[in-house]
Amino acid sequence: MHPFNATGIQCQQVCYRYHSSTPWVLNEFTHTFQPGISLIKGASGCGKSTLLRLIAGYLPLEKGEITLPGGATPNNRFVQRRDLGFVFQQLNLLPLATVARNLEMAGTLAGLGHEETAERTSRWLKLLGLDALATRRPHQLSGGQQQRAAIARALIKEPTILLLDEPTSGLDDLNTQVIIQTLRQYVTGAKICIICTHDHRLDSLAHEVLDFNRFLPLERHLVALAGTA
Amino acid sequence: MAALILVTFTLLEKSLRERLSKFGLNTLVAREVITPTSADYIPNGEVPNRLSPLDEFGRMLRLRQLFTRAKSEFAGDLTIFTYGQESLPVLAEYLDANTGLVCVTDDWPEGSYVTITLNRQSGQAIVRRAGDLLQPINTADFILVPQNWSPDLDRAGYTDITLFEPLADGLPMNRFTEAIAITYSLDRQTAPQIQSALPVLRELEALQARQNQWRLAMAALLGLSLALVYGAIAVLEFRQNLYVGALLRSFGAPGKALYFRQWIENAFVANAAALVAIFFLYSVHEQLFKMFGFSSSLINLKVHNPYWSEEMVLILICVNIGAFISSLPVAFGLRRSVGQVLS
Repeated sequence: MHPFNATGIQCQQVCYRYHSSTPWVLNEFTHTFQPGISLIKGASGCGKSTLLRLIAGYLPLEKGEITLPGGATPNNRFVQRRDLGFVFQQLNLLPLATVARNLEMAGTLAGLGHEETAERTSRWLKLLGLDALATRRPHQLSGGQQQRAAIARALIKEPTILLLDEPTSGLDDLNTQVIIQTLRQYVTGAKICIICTHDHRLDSLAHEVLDFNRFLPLERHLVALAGTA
Repeated sequence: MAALILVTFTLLEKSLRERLSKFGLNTLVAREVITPTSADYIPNGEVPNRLSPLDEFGRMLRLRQLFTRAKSEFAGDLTIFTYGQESLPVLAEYLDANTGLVCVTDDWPEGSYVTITLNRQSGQAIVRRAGDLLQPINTADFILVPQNWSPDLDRAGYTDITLFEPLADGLPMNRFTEAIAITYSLDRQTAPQIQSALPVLRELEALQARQNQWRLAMAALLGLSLALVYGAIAVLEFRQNLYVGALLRSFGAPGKALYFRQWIENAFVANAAALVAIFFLYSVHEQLFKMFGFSSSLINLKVHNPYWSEEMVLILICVNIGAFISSLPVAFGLRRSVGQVLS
């Protein structure tokens, strides 16, 4: 039986700041992410990426509460290994491993068997158009290829929660379309996908869009609005 | 380098110890030349022993080394030492019921008999090894002859030799050398030539002191080198592993497992490098130390293997401490939250 129920990701009064002397990046943020694709938009520094890291358990929660589907907390290592996929904006791939090895390693850490790992590696590389690049190392790939490889690595364990931080930043339309198609096919049923992005090309994917600019202090909010005008 | 210096010192110390054991570590030899014109010269007779007061402080053997030589049946020349009645108890382990002649040599089987000719007289001598008692005489092959075996043997004079071995828990050796000098000066005699292990012992002590200084310097140098090498490795490890470790932890890999993997890898690499270096030194040991002038017997690894010693264990301990220290930055890196590293 799958350990998660499709109850969404509940954020209750979530507060976070990087240092005690700095202002809150997130201040009493409350929201429930339902199954489907949620886009978080907002200016730089408004706390989008921070929220993703808090949900993934990569940052310690200072105040408030985050509950994952099934009642798990974000720092649950089992969830991190099996049911959470995270794609960073950069520094995504292990530099000395080939693309295929990057995927296999993620599969192995997720507890997949050898054959299943091999099958999924092959399948996801093919779906993301990377099958011809499987034996290359990250530095031999373009930015778009690296980002697709990182998404393939996050998807190999077919997680219930998929978190993507600026997945299409700086990518051309072709690479972006491949990613959009892949996400559209993957995020079905109880799966929850949260994407932090500035990219309007992803808007068509979204089941909901959250504007994080509203959490900014007034003066920064005005600057952000001026930037988007 | 550390292994090379430590092995060199071990070999030097061993060389000195061999010299000491050949001489007799705790034996004093007094030599006094008696010529026919000396007041002490009594041909073929007992001369009062000036050193007899020392008798109660240890084992004493008195011999006369003659200026003539004996011939063995194998045509080899032998130095002649005569012994008197007073020396019989000490020499008992060398003597044989069938003959009073003892041939001390390593060339013939022990316990066999050889024919000896001296002063136109022949006799059978039993073959013995020098052993601890006679080793300090430091003469290759010689023969022990009773003083009255052949008249006029000491007609041309002789060297009066007294071997004195103090009791194990007795006074230090230098007190006896001083006592002998005083005894002779009271008799208004020139002090005999005294041969003891003291100079070699002093040399050994000096070597051990130098060795300790070198060990300290080596430890400091090794520590400094390790600090520099491992420090550099640690900084690189920190920079390299910080990101990779965080990435692996983002997939749920346990931090402790990542740390121990790093530690084991560091220890493996450092130990392998140290062992390869020591093995290389081991493989060129004989050629290298022969070049440094050590004797073949001393550098024979089948006889003495300095690579299986406390020093090598010390080097490996230092290497492993260094490997552990170099893994600490990785531990610090793993304490940082994934989100902060991969921001």
